[in-house]
Amino acid sequence: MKTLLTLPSLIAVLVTGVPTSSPAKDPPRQKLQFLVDGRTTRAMVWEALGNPSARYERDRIQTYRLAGKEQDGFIIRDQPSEHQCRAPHLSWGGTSHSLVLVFDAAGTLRRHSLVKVN
Amino acid sequence: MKTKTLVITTLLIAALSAIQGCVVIPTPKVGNYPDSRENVDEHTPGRFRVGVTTREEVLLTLGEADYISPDEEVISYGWNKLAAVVFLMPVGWTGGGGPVPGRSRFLVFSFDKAGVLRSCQLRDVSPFSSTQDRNAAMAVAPPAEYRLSSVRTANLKVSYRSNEVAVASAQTLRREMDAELRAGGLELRPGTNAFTIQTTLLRVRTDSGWTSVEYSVLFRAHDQQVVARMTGRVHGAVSEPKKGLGKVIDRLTDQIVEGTREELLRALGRRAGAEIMAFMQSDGQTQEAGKKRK
Repeated sequence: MKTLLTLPSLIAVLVTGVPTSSPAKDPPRQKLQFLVDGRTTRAMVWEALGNPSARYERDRIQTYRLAGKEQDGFIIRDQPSEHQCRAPHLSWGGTSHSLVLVFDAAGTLRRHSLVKVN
Repeated sequence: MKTKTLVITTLLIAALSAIQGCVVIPTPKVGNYPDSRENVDEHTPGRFRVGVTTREEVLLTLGEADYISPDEEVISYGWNKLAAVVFLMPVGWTGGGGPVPGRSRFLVFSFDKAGVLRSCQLRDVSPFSSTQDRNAAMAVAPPAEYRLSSVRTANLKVSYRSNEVAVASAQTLRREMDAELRAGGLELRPGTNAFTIQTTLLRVRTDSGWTSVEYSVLFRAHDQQVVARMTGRVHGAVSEPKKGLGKVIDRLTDQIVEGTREELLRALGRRAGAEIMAFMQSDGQTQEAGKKRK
């Protein structure tokens, strides 16, 4: 009787298998050591971080939305959707920092700051 | 004994049934709505000095703004207060709940032409207010005078190994680019705040045997950030799908046109200028009609 009860259970386990989860691929992380005032260029920033999330004063000031911690490297957050652009939406969910970069007329980084927003 | 147990069980079930549904716990002083920014509050204005602090310093201190006017003389930061937390009492094995947004608050910074802080106002908006009221609180209303700082051309130059490949790629890319823009809801349409004015393809045969194709897309928007994002979309639409066929030799050549309407007409040529003027008129009529309906 015991065998009769155990056998279907064993078959069920074999058929269904043990659930496994494939490790989720982590998005690339970016450290910010390459940002050096007076040395880093706008092209280097674009190469490393992609499109900024916002631009001001004819691209003199650019911002990026970041997630994570400085020591682990940051994940560059997706830019806000078109919807958010049209109707201001106060959503900073998932974003931990705002990186603000100020360039000079030649496109060289003059000042920058990492602002914790969340 | 049995009767007593039955009575207690019945009373317990009745009590649980009575409290099924929502339990709202008001949280007036707990803080902000979960996805709201946390680095701005009612005390923030004290960190800046009118007549001294610049726009650059405000941005470096508070980070990306939630709104910037087309002329960049107004930038706003907002946050949502948490009104309450709702708990849905368990029915069977399920239950739930969540935070309820409360009033929105905005800090509206106004700057002069030189970018020096002129004023900083705190505005309060009810969670039940319309989008229009919220936008007005953040000074999002379309400007009375269309400023051309919100017009931008995205230029791309791509070189191909042969003329035939260049022509075929140009046609394909043009279709892809148009589809990409339509997918983003960016077509020319009054009442929206962003659209394309024109896309042009210029083919130039170079001495080295490569054929250079130049794509030029012109945008206009009330919001400069929208324009920046759209130029990014064009770069993606044009350059990414055709990697290998062509070589993008200049993907960051953005030209910003700034000036009055008349200067725009002169700078952009008769055809594009006429299209912009036509849109402005229809957009203006739309806004006027909206005002009359009110």
